[in-house]
Amino acid sequence: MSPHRSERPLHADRAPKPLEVTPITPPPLTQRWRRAADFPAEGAKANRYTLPRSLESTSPVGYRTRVPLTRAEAAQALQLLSMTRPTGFAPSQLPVTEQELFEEASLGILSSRQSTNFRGHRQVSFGPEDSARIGHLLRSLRHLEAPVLDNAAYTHVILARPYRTPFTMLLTLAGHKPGLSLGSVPWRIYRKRFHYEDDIPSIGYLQHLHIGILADVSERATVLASGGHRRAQSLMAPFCGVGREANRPVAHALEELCGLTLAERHLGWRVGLVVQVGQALPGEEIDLETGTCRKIAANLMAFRSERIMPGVNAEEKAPPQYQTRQDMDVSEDLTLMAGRAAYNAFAHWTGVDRELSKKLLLLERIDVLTPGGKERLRGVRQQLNHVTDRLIADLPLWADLPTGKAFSRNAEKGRKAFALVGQRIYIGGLSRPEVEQAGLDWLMAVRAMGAAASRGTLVAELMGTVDLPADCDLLGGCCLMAGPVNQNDIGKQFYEVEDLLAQAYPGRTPTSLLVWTLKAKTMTDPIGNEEQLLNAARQGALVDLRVGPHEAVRLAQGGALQPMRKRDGKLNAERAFADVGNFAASPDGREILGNSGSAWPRAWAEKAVWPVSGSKG
Amino acid sequence: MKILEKSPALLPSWLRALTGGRKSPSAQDLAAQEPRHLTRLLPQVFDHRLLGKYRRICGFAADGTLPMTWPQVAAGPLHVAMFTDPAFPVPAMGIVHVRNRIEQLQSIADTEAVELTTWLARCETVDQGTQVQVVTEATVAGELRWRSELTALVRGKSKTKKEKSPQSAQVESPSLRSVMVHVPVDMGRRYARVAGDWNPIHQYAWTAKAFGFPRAIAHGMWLLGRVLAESGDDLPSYPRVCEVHFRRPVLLPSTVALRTFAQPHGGIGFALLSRDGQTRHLYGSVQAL
Repeated sequence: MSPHRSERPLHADRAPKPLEVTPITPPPLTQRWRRAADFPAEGAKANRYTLPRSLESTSPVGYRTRVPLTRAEAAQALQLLSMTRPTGFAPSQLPVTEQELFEEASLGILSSRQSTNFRGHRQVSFGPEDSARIGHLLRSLRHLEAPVLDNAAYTHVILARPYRTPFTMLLTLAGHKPGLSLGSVPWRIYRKRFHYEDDIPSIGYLQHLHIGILADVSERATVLASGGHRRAQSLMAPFCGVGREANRPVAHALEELCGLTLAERHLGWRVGLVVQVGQALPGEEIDLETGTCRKIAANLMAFRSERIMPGVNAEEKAPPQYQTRQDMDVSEDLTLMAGRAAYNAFAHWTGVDRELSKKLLLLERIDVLTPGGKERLRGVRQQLNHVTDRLIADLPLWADLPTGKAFSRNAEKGRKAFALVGQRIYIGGLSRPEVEQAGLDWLMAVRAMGAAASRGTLVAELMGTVDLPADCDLLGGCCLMAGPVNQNDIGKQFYEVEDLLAQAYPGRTPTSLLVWTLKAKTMTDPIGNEEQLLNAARQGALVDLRVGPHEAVRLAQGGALQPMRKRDGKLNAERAFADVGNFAASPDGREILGNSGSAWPRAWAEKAVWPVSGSKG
Repeated sequence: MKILEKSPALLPSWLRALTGGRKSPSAQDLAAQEPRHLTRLLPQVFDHRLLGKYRRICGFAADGTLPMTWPQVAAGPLHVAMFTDPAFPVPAMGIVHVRNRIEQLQSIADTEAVELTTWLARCETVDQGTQVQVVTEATVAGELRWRSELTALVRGKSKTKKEKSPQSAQVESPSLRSVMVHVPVDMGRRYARVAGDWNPIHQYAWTAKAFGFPRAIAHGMWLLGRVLAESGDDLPSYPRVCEVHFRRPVLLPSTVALRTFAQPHGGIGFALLSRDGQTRHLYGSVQAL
């Protein structure tokens, strides 16, 4: 059987622009410091700045530290940010082991950057025979953004649901008129529950932004988990916007294959993305050394939102090193590369050429260290605070008082979450009329925007590990947020506030979608921020993001859907890429109990998940 | 020597234990050097259903061989019958497992017929009370494949003041594995259903209180089984020996931390620690023989 290549050649102006390694200059020796968190002293209370004593988690992530990359290794990593789509798959020679699939899921759905508290994605993975059947179904789809490929070794079908968290519960109470709220609030609840309507449009976009991010992450996950030998073909256009409308029967058939129940459908679960994975064709493998591959992967496990800028927004009780400014900057070159990566991603996922991509993607850059940047940032903060004040003042008392003002307290907390701190801040968005004029589906463009933002921030995160001195935790990080945009959207919908991008793009009816801050610093955020996501005892409902494989991934085997790594009463305790050993420890090297995990039994991990099939997909 | 065709029934043994009064070893018991209470259970293939339940409860993968701890579990009814024998020098109730050495000379397939022999090797007075050592051997077609020395203690009044063990029990070597293990409140009863060890200290808080424990405690052999099951792929090949010391009981329910680490001269060391790492419940090693 000869490998089948798709016929569509890549037009030169659609080709991604290569990215260059742009390391961040470390500060002078006197300004370098690390988190250096330790266990609480005997009898002392633990806080966000001390190390947790233990970790009980089925997630592959754990408490990690960044791994230094050389410039050559970083150059290999950057290939992953400017890949083109595969043109075909070679027939699979080797079976896929459970371990490879676990590692791929760990880099993909199990660690994809999602909002806290949102378990919005699930994955069902099908073997080669099912992939062939799914391939037939996919070919009948309309609005495909890329060809369905033959010889898929396996296929992931990603299910997604609308974004619903305690924050969206609060939004149910936003924007009601006094006196009418007793009727309008229940009506809003009904419309949300049964018609999947959102209180504000930007909440609806979150689901799509997250799918876009996951699509981008999945391509890299496949390549890294296979050492560059496998490639992924992600298809999402048929499952959103006009595509979704046109493809209901096929989407429904896929959802049935995934065992979606009626109750889950009522909660809004639908297929959001399909990822075909196969053996790369000769010439389309990604050239990665195994050791480098694992270092990059271990770093991806370690990257997380960096919210604190030393000397800028640390709380009073923070240790002294968080209170002192560092003379560091995110260089112009790095900012340029981050932007280039974003445009590459937008062009990749929408299929438009780079020039159009640059026109459609609306990016306002705030250079905080300049006088103009400071002024602009002050304006944004004032606007968001004004919206928060109005929101709290207008909350219906009949709902807020009986809950001990829980809703207004929650809204108040938002101010901290929307803190915009960093040397460079981007507000990203799109203009709906311009997107539609370009012949693109609006929601598909929103997904591509999510992918673009996450790819742009990843450049800064990776460069923050290049030539990393031993006395620094990192040199650069980022924080990708939708919170400020949602807050602005509350203002837009209910209090006649203008869009965050309105000043930068007058007359273009912009819709801001995400904000990201790039930070150059040498010390990671306190581990307490991470603990909120991993330790159920610490923050209760906040713990949601770092799911275990059995909670998010199912494998279609022998006609049944088996949860990944739930077997004979045993659940996963393995941390992916643990061999790199980048686990947080105290300054004297003591480990956090349970943090480095325990490998899944080798006999199970090395077993082929599905038999190799020679059939075409 | 008693020769049995099948495992002794547990109920009569436990009834004997419950009705048996206080007793202490005679001078003759303490002086004896030769094996006593020798019992042989004729070759048998173990019940696959029970073995499956055991694997599941401890987390052993079903690889076609007997888990390292299984022959001792299978010999449990023989041990109970021995401990509850009126002639046994110490009372069965409240007996605490303090140490174990298991030599696994060769693997035993779970389809092979295994003969078990067990005897009391020693009874001695120690500072904390009376200590007994029970030896168990497993042979297949006359070939010794497995051997265990179980040391158990019946607490008495200690003559010397107990020294507090050092609090920082964290293992300093880098972990091979580090994982939290949740031990549910009914673990003692679940394990007893498989292993037949219905000692009241493992069952309920109120039954354990009668023997001085604030709550029920986990079976030491379950804890060891859990440790070995988790370490499966890191264990040295046959012949190998596992030595374990049970230091502090694990109260039910609790979450404990299991750490394994490489030993300087091969093999692995292990420790089961409290959640805060301050108390060591058990520790030991598995080495090549």
